[in-house]
Amino acid sequence: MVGMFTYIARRLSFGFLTIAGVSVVVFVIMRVLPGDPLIAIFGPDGFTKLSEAERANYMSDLGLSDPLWQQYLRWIGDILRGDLGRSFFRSESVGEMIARRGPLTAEIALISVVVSWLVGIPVALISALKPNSIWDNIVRFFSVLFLAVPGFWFGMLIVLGLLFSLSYRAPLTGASLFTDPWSNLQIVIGPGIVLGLGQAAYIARMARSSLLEVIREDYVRTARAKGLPAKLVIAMHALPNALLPVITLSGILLGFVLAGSIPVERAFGTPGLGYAMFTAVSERDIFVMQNLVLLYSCVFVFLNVLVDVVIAWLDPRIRYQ
Amino acid sequence: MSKSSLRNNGVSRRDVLRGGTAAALAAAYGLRPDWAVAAVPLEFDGKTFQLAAPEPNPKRGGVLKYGITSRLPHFDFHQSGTINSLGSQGCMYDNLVRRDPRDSGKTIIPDLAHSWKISSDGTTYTFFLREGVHFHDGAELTADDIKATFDRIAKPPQGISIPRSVLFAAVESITAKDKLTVEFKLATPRPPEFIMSAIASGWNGIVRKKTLEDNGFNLRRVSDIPGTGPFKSKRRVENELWVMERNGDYWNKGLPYLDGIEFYHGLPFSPELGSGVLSGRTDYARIVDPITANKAKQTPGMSSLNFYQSVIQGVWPNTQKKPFDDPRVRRAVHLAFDRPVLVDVVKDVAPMMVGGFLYPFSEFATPIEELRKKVGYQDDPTAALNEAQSLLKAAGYADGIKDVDFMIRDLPSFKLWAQAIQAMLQQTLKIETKLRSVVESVWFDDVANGNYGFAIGAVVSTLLDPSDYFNAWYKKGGPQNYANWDNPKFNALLPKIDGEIDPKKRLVFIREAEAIMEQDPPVFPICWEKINDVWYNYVKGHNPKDYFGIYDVVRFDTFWLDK
Repeated sequence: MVGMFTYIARRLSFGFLTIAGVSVVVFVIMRVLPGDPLIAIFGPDGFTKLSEAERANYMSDLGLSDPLWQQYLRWIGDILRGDLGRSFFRSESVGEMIARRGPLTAEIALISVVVSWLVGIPVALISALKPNSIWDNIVRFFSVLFLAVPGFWFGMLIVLGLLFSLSYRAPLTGASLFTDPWSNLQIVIGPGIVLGLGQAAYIARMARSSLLEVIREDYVRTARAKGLPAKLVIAMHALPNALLPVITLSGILLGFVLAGSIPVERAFGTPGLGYAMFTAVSERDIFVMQNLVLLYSCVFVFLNVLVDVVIAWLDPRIRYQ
Repeated sequence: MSKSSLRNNGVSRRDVLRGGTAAALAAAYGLRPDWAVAAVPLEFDGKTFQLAAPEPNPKRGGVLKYGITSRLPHFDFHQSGTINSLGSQGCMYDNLVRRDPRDSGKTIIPDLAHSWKISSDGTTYTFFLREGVHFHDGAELTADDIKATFDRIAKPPQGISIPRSVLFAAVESITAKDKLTVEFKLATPRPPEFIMSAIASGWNGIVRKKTLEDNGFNLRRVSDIPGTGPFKSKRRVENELWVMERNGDYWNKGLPYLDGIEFYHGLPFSPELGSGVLSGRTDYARIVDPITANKAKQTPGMSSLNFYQSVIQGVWPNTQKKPFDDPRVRRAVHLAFDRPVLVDVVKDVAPMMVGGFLYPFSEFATPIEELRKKVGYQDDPTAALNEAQSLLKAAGYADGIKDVDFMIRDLPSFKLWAQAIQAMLQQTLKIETKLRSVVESVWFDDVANGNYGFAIGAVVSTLLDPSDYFNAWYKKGGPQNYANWDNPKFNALLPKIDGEIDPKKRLVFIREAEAIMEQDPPVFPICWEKINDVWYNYVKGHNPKDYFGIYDVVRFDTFWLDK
C-alpha cells in the first residue's frame, strides 16, 4: 500500500512539474506572438483611429505593458487564488466560460471514449481472432480510413448531409444535460461520434496487436488445454491482459480529444471549449488562450496520472517495480 | 410639413443612368440605375410623424430569430467599429434623426427629434425633441442626454476613442437650449446631407447623460446600457445568444410589432450562419455566403438578395519605398487589374462589384458609362496594358519588378485575389510577388511599420459621402491611408470638398480628386463589397434592397411576422 502511495506521489510531482513548464512556455509564446490585441477590441477601423498614446494607455490598462516576469507572477497568483482571469474585452470571466462550456466538451469527450471502445474492441476481436479473413480486411480498411480522415472534414460532411437531405442542424446555442437533455444530446452526439470513430481506429489497432500477442502466450494455451471454451478463454484470460495497453492509449487519446475538439467543434458549430479556444486564437485573446491551454494541460496530466494509477492497480508488476 | 433645400441638385445618378445603354452597363457592373440619396430638407416639421411598417395591416406578436455575427468586443457601441456590436445592440437605441427603413435608408426621417431646422448659412442645426420619451431605466429623455451623447462622440474625453468623431470635426458646440431643444453649432459650414447623415448614422444612438457620468464616460463594461429603443435587453449568453424583449413604453405608438428578438451569433459567411437559416433555426440571417444565398433563392418560401456594403477591397502599395513611390509604377499596376475577373474569382465566397476610388453606385462617382470609356475600365484591356507597360518602361522597370512582398490578410477572399493578382501582374507587367499570409493583427502591425510591398485588405466607411472616407482613406495621415499616400493637390482639394455646400461645385471638386487618384493611385481598388441577406418570406417590414451598409438600419421596429 505504501508503495502505491509513493508511486502516486511520484507521478503527481512529475505532473506538477509538467504543468509548471507548460505555464512558462504558454505564457512566453502568448507574449512573443506578433500582432496587436487592440485590433480585436476596437475592430480594424477603430484601431487605426487610435493614437499612439491611446494605444499605450489601453495596453497599460490591460496589464500588458508590465515586465514579463511581473505579468507571469500576477497570472500564477491569480490562478492560485482561484481566479482564472477575464477575457480582456468580454464581460464573462474565463472561469464562468469554462463552467458554461466545459460540460459540453466533457460530454463530447466521454461519448467519444465510449464510442471508441464500443467500435474499437469488437473490431479488434474480429480482426485478431480471424486474421487476414475478409472481415479482418474490411474492418482494417475502415480503421485506416478513420485514422486518415480529418475529424473536422468528416464533421462538415455530416453537417452538410443532414442540412441538405433533412434540413436539419443541431441547436445553435448550448443546452444543459439536466435542463434540456434532448437539445443537449443533439449538440454533443455529432462531435462525440466523429471524435470517437477517429479514436476507435487507434483502439482497434492497438487492441488487435495486443490480443494477437496475448493469445500466443503460454497461459492462454494452458487455458485452452484445460478444455475451457474458446469464448471463455478470450473473455476471461486473453482480453483482460490485452486491454492494459489499450487503457493507457485510451487515457492519452482522451487528452487528445480536447485538442481534436477544436476543429471538430468548429465544424459542427458546437458551443464548447474547443470553439472557445478557436475564437480566442482568432481574436488573439491572450488571457483566454493561456488559461485554456493551461486547463488542457492540467486535464492531460491528470488523465495520464489517473491512467498510470489504474494500470498500476490492475497490474501489480508495475507498482512493485 | 414644409420642405426646402439649399440647392438645386442638378446632377444625380438617376439622371445620368437614365437610358437603356446606361442600364445595361450598370447591370453588368452590378449597379442598379435607380439608386440616389434623398436630399435633406432644411426645415422639417414632423410633430405628428409616426413610423409604421410599409405593408398594410401588420401583425403584432412573435419572436424573430435572427442570425448575425454578435461577438461584441465590448458594450460601448460608440467606441466600436464592428457590426458585431451594432447588429444586435442597435435595436436598444434611438437616434436623434434616422434613416428610413422603408426605403432602404435613403431618406432621413425624424426619430427622437420630431423636427429640425438648419440655418441658411449651414452652420446651425436645431433639433426639437419629442416629449415623454423614456429610457429603459425609466428616466425621461431630455436635451441634456443628446448633448452628453454627442459631446462624447464629437470630442471624446481622455482614454475614449470613437471612430466617428472625425465626422463631427466641424462641430464647434452643442447646446441644450431648453429641455427639449438642442442646437449644434458648426465652426464652418458643411453640406447638410453630410452632417445629417453623420447624426443619423446607426452608430450614434442616444444614451443617458447619467449613465455616461456614472461610468466615467466609458461604457465598455456596462452590459445593459439603457436606451430609448424599441427593444430591451432580456438575457445574453456570451458569443451565442442575445434575447431582446419588446419595450412596451416605446414612444412610437404601435411599434415594435415583435414581442422580442433572439440574436443568434454566427460568423459572417460561416456554415453555422448559413445552416442556421436554411434549417429554420433562424428566420433571418445577415452576411451569409453566396452558396447559402443561392440555396435560399431556390427554396420555396425563402428570399435572398444582396445590397451595397460600405467597404472597399483593395491592394495598398507601400508608397514610402521604391518602386511604388513612383506614381507611374502605381498607375501601371492599377491598370493591370482586370476587375471583372477579380469579382468572378470570389463569386462563391462573397458578393462583390467593380468600381474605382469612390463608391461606384453613389452619385459622387463618375457615372458608369463615362468610367467604362476610361483606360483601365474598358472591356478590351489592350489600351490599359499598353499604357501600363509604357509607364513601367518610362519609370525604368521595362524588365519588370522582382520580389515584391505581397502581404495577405488571412481571409479566403484575400487569398484567392492575391493569387489571381500575382498571376495578372506576372503575365502583364513581369512583376513578381511573394505571397505572405498573416493574421489580421499582424497585417495592421506590418502596415503601420511599413513592412510590406503590397498589402491586400479592406476598409469600411461610415457614410457614402466622400468627405468621410476621403479624409480617412486618402488624406495624408488619414487613419486608414495604409499606403501613406501623400498627394499635395489632393490634400489641398479636400477642404474645398468638405466645406462646399453647393452640390454642383462640390461634385466638380470630387471629380477632380477622382482624376488625381486615377493618375496617382493611393490604393489599387479590387472591388466593392456587397452583403447577402437571407430570410423566410413571413418576415415582413424590412426593405434591404438598396441598403448602403449594415449600420444605419438596425432598429427592427418595423419588422413583423406574417404567420
